[in-house]
Amino acid sequence: MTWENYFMPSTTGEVLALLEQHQGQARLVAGGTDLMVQHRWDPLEVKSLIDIGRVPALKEIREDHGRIYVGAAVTHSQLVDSALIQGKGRVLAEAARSVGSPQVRNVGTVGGNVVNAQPAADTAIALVALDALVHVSSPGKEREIPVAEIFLGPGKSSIDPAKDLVTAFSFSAPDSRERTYFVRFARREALALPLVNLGLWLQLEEDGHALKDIRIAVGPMAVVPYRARKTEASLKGAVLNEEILKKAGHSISEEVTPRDSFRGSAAFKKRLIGVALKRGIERALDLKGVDRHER
Amino acid sequence: MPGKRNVLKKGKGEIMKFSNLGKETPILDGLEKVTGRARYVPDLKMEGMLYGKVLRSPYPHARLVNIDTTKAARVPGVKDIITGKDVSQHRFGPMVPDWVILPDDKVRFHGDEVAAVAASSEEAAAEAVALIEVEYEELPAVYDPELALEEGAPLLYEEKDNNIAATFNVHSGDVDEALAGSDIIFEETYKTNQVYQAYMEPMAAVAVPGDYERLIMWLSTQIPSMSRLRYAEALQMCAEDLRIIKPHVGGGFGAKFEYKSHILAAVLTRRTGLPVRMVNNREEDFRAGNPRVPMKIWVKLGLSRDGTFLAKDTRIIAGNGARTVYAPAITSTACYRIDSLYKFKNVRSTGYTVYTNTIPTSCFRGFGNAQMHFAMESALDTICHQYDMDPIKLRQHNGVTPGFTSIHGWEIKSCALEECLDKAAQESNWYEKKKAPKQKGPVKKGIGVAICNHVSGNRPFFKPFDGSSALVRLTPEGKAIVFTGEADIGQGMNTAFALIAAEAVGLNVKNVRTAAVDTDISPFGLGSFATRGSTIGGRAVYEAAVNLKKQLLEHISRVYEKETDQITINNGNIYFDDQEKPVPVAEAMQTISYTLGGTSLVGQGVFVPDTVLPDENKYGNVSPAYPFGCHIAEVEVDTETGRTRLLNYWAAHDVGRVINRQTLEGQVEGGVIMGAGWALGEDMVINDGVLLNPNFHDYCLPTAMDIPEGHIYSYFLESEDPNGPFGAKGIGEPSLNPVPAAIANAVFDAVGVRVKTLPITPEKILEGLESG
Amino acid sequence: MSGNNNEQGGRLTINFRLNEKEYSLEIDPGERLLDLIRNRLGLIGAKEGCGMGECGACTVIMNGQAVNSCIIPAARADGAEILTVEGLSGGMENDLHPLQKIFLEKGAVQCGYCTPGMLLSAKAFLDKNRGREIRREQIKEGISGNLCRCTGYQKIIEAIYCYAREAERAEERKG
Repeated sequence: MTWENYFMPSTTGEVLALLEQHQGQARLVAGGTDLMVQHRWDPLEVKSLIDIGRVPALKEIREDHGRIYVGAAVTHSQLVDSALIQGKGRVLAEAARSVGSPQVRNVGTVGGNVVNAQPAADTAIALVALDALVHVSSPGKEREIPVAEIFLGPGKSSIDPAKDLVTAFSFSAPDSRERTYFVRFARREALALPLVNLGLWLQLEEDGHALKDIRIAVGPMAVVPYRARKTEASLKGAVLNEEILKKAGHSISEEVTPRDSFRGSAAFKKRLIGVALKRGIERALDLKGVDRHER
Repeated sequence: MPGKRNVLKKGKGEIMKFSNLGKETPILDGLEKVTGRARYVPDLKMEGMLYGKVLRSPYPHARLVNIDTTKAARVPGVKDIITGKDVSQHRFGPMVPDWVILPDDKVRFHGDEVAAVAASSEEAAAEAVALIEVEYEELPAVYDPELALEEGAPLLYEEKDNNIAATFNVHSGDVDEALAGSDIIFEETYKTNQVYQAYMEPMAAVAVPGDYERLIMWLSTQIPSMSRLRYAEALQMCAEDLRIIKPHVGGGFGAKFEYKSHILAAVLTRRTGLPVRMVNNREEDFRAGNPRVPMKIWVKLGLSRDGTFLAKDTRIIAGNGARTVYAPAITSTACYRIDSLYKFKNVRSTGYTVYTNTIPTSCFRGFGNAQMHFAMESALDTICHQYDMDPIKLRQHNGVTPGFTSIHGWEIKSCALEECLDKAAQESNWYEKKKAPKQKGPVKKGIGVAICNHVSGNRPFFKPFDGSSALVRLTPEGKAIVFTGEADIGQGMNTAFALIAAEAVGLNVKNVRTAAVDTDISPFGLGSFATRGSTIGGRAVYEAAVNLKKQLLEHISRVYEKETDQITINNGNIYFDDQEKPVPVAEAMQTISYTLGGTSLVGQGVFVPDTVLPDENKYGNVSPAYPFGCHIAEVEVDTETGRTRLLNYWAAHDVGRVINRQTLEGQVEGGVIMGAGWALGEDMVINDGVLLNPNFHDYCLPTAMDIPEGHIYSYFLESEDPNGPFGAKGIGEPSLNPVPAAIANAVFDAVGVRVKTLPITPEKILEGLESG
Repeated sequence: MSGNNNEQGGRLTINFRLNEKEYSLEIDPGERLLDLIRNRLGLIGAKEGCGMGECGACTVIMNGQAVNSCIIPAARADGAEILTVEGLSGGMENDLHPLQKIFLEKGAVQCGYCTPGMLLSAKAFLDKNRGREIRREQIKEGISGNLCRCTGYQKIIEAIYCYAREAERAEERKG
């Protein structure tokens, strides 16, 4: 490998001190699953790595004043196994469960998944659907940014791993009228990149029928994780039935702009996203039984 | 007698029970595998060993203008760098002499070998490779075999006037007349894609300087003896001066034949005098392995109204890639092997193996027969649908039967094809499922059938001979060691050999093992291909064991003063007719050995099959035995996403005789899933000559979550072949041949979409559904 | 905090337990855990099948979890408890781990290249689900990060399933 120093601090304070001390010459690494592959032979832009996987505060999942906090170094496996996330962030648990393989989930972190900003990062899609906030610490300052705003392009986010420490993601705990769901279609059942992934958050009116509000996050349908706002708008206030769902499916297929690639044509992905939305809403509201294959 | 287990008729209606065969015997080399102690080539380390690394071309077709290794040579730890300028430019090759050790003129595919480095660490070797400066002059390239056939296409080998590596023609009977007299004429074109064997152990070699100025090569190979001949030719040395050792091999599936970087390791070792290990990383294994030969197959069939096959006409265009490995033989197999599955009377085939600027293609489980099975068995399904015939009965009506000699002179001595069809149909509930109404929701179920034949040895593969020889050595401790040149690459062949030897001598298999192949010790063995191991290699082992037993009986007779016909050896014990208490073989052997200067008894066995090298029109019995099988796939297809899932799978095979039920099932299950991966998604996506998915996340071979939701059921029918050891025939390739067609036919049954180009992707199904 | 603070870079000392033995080793900060295990400790059970965390042949158990050692920095082994296939059964005279035994008996092994990783994924999965009833579908997910090209997985799943059932029955007898 191509780095010369490897630090394993145990508090966020130490992390920030190291960042400050190295003045952009050290970068953070969490699971490192992408880094280890990309930089086996290719030089890294910095000489030092700061591994945040030993900072207990960054590995916490907790609920506080109606918000759920997920530490940046929380692994996908932790999300899958967390009763809190299963109960109050189903879309995130399911998204985490669909990542790679058990081995990758045991190591890869939600922070890494988001900061690396791949257009189809499963947990990033889920966090966008949850309208999560990113909590960022830099030497001497703290920020909170809506997660959807940090994505700049494929592989690019506004979080600089040589300057900024993402400490956590947070989202408001859902009330009894809110539901979430995650749908993913891939070439195979494991170890696969998604052809289409869709994170869903929806809120029902008090009568339990009409949709009061909905957020639909999708990938890889644009260069960054993307909210299908037109389709969201068309669904707000709707009373759900087969007809509406079919229309929503068409609407989102029209709205998204995926690219043709050898992994799948744009037309195919457009079609799948429509199916994903329809099935996602059905499953989220338990209109039909959950298909064991769809995760 | 199909369906019988564990018994053998011994003439005069006498039934013999087997003490070793037909059972579930765990592989004998399993212990070292589950403990992680088994050593494969990438695990070998020698004192002073260097690490080899290949520089590969970034262009599909380019002239080598200049190569500057100055900077690379300065990397600390670099011991040697070779380019085309440093090596002999003589040509050689397994089938066509279009290989050189390293080219000095041009590169012909993205991944072609340009230079090789040996260094004291992997890091240094990688760094040096990155620092070799090559000036390329890009040349026009051609990637599609059909375009490569066109006039004016860029030539891969300028000394040839076209890109045809080989042409194949066969014509028996009168196809035109038979077609003219047919009631039903069916014509269609099918395409099979390029897929990767994806053995878990990448291609690997360790070359080591040996005594007497010989060279030792530890290879991950299916063909130790043949590669020895070929590498001697490449290295311009006497084959005897090359010693090939094959330790455990992590799968091959057809890919691990002659391989360039093995030769490069040898060259580097000869130049440096130091051991060199050369192991592909996964990406280069994808980019420069030996993937399956892609084919475009045009088929025309003529049938009479009652479904009798009258004529078959075929034209195949096959992709050879940039140099010839075994694609010509694979094309010829695709052209005519399936003709001996059915009672054809008139057949004609033309095949072209065409050079393109892509990865050289070669053997992959099924060897061309698998490609043709997709076309033929898909075609028959469509005919059945169009003319309302039953796919099982149509095949039973036309399939070969015992005693039949096929149109190409293949003598079908044993055959339980009809019974395989019945068994699979019955176990899968075929007739009921075929009639069942379709499901209402978006997900539809379907069921499909395909059958197969194959060979157990292929006479023309190695022109000088087919056959095998073996030694079985019984030690003073009463343990037997089988020496064979046939290569176990993980299928469990060594265990099958031990079982055969144990059964033939009367030992317990626990006291028998098969030695690793080492050309200094093992007999010449052609190797693992053409599903020949158990049948031809096994028969040689059987003969050696019989020979050993004869010697053993004579010695027992001498030592114990009994007539040989009063002696029975069974399960490690010697029984005398007039004595109740048996004598253990170990005890007798010690006496025998210690009275004869400590000798071991060595049985030698030779099996030369009575096969015939086919004549110009491909007439000639190529194999001592022919295996058959019938597969039925049950799938569900999601009509909204286009996704196909396997529900259950039934595979009935005529294996002649069950040697080891457990490894047989293992071969079938592995073959079915490999075939399913090919059918439903595996694809090497090549764009402008560059492979876009050289990794396991984009090249989607099945994971544990992709196998049938239900079960893969295996059934074995024992037709007792007269040539196979105890009647056994092969299983390796037949287990894969019918899979893509069985799945394609099941998909058609589910949703009415006929996919004629592999793989059967969701996109193609959705397109088919839309176009109705 | 651990790690090397030497601004010039260089070696880094780590302490860990592997197969129940304590190690203190100087490593290169850029070394992979797989290289540490194979090249430094000479344990060849973990294989490099892809080098990208996509095939599972290099799987080891680290702090109770299955990980791909080809994408783990060796530095992260500091303070960790690691199990490789060599630690399942000990030396040549020791008994096999029951999972190894059942893999052998049920024909879950062919070429053997994926076997060490597969065993460790199976073990990590079984340990995590100890005391629970296990379905075949869960086993499939548990080993979905380990590619096997020989077996078609069926016999591997069956072996793990049989092991789990036996363990369940043993629990019942105890309980």
